[in-house]
Amino acid sequence: MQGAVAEWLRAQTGAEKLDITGAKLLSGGAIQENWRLDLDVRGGHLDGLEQVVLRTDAASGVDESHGRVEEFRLLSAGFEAGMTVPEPLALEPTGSVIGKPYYVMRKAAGTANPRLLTRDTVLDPHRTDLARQIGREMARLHRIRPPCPDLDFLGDAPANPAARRISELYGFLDSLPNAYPALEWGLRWLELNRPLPSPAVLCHRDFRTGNYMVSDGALTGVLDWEFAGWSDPLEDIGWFCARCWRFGSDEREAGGIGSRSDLYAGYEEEAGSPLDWSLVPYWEVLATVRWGAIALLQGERHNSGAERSIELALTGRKAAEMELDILQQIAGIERTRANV
Amino acid sequence: MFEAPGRKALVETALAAFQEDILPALDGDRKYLGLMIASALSTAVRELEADADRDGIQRVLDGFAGLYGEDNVERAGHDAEAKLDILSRDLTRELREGLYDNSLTGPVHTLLTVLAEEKLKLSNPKFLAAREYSQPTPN
Repeated sequence: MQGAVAEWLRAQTGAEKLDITGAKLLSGGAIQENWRLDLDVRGGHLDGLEQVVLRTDAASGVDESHGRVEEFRLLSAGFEAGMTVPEPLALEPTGSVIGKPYYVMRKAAGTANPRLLTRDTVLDPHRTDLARQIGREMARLHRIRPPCPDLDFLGDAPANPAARRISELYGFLDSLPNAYPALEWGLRWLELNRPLPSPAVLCHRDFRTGNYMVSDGALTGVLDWEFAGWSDPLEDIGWFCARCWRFGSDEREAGGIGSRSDLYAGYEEEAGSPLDWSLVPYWEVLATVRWGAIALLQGERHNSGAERSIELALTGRKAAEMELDILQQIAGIERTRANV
Repeated sequence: MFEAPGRKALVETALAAFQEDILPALDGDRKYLGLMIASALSTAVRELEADADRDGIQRVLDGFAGLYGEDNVERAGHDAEAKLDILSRDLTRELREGLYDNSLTGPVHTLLTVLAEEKLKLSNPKFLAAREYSQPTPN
């Protein structure tokens, strides 16, 4: 199979000679497989490149996520918008080379390990710059607006992104065999407190610590684009800042890695104007409900017997953490409102 | 069932041996898997304790009685788990219908907090003590 991939990549990139000298399965993908390929390339536009990553589907898929062909287009859109992403190099959409579609991208340096990124004191002098950089990356992404023919598979942009999200989440809860009144309560609050709609932009929708690479204190690549879609830009901010994605470093409110004010400042610097930051707590509640519902869906993949996995089983049991968090977040927002 | 050690003691013993003799020798992906195994077994031990001591589910049913009245909780069935399931479905439907729209942070919030706390006593007691999200979390 390595020979077939090497020959395909050689033809794609116009190389005179391209050999794959090693392949290693990278960790951290339940839904996708990421292979690091060691290359020996002469000629063509990858001349001298030593490593790339090949991304393809794992044995199991999640219905709600995009396939590799769509993900390649999203990654390309981010790259063309000037974001720091692993440069997409070539797409094999037909499945004729290895039996399933895949694409090849440059390898981003560093680590995405959230426990390291939120706790390593070596990063402390870089945290201000890192949070600002992430803000700038998000602002670049959010410059992509519909219509966008290359991204037509995303469907129509919602006129009211929050309403669209709430309706999807009700659908998630209705697909589960048990009732989850705390998540339902959170959704009802989200529905009653829906902000006025703002125009939808391209959102990553899984932009959080663990899904971007960092090397020497700087972001080197935004990864995992399979949930991207048209939404309110604050959805990305809320997802990034929600407490459930701070990995225990709660005091660093931007993803456990930096301060909220630095994230916002970076965003404003790139976008030229702020978003309505007063609405971020709303989108953090939505993020927490969403992660709670997704955790239950993952648990259900195990419980139903569709895919036995200790990770999926434990993820389902995590939902109670999000439930209590939602109850506390909303009570806090309501208390603040009552005191104003 | 017939012999000692019983199920809880067996799981506890297996967990202790795993944590002392195997987990320290693991690294990388296997360490991550090892931590998940320890977490699953710890939850199982707490579940076995809760099966013996019904305080948790009773506290939740008392919470429902505070919202619906003692009689309505009684009528929901004989088995505590089945009762909890029926009452949770009723509450979910009522929330969606808007019955609590004017009092979301009132008694229904108190009840849902009890329910979430009782779940967490089993799955992750640290979250109650320090609002600490469980580790490992997926990458």
